[in-house]
Amino acid sequence: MATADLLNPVIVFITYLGMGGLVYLAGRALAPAVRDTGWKLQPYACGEIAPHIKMRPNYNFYHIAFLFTILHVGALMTCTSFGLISYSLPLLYVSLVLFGMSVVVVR
Amino acid sequence: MGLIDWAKKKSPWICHFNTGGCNACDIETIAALTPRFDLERFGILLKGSPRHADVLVVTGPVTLQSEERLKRIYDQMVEPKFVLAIGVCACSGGVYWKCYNVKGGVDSVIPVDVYVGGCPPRPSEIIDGMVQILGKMGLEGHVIKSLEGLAGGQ
Repeated sequence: MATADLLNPVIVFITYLGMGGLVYLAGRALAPAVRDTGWKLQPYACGEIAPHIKMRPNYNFYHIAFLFTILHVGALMTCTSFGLISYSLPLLYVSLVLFGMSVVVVR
Repeated sequence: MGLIDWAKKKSPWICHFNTGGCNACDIETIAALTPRFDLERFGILLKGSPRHADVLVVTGPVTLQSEERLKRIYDQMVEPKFVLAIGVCACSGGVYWKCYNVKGGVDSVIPVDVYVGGCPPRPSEIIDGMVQILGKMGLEGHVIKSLEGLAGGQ
């Protein structure tokens, strides 16, 4: 198998997933058995009773993060490929980015 | 020596909890950890969570307000766990013994492995207390050897 095949993102992801699993299993095998006594498995809050609050994610920031990502990817594409491969493809990509941004802003 | 003991040899981490003391023992504990006495050279690091600690270092008399909190923190520590009571207040309640808002020493709430007396104890005495704890963990040889090495170097 060539090195390029080993560096395939899917293979790298599966390899690291397996390594993470091995570390987790080794930790479980070495650690003493957990005895659920008293407050053992409750969240640590400096000795206080941790309040049980349901998290309500705020999606307002999502739009900002989305625009941030789109602009960065657009700038990266333009800088790295403009004139190297062609002129039309990066321009097409940037126009799609602008279209996507306008959709987000209008909605 | 087992694999876990080998791993713990240079990382007997501690978690510090003040149950209502005057902070003198806390200052001496910090002095024992910081460069002048440098308990950290043995890998004894102060951690912010009992989940990461092997030894619970307690200072001050246990007040009625801190009693439940001390129990919770002790419960949340990983096994095997050890408790070091620093200062006469943590050992027995000290001058606050039988005070209206004081439960007593640390051993009135959780089991204590090693007591370090004094008001406050000197950092050298706290280091000795930690060596006693390491003895209970079966790891004192590493630290004692290091201390002998330092004494020989001077």
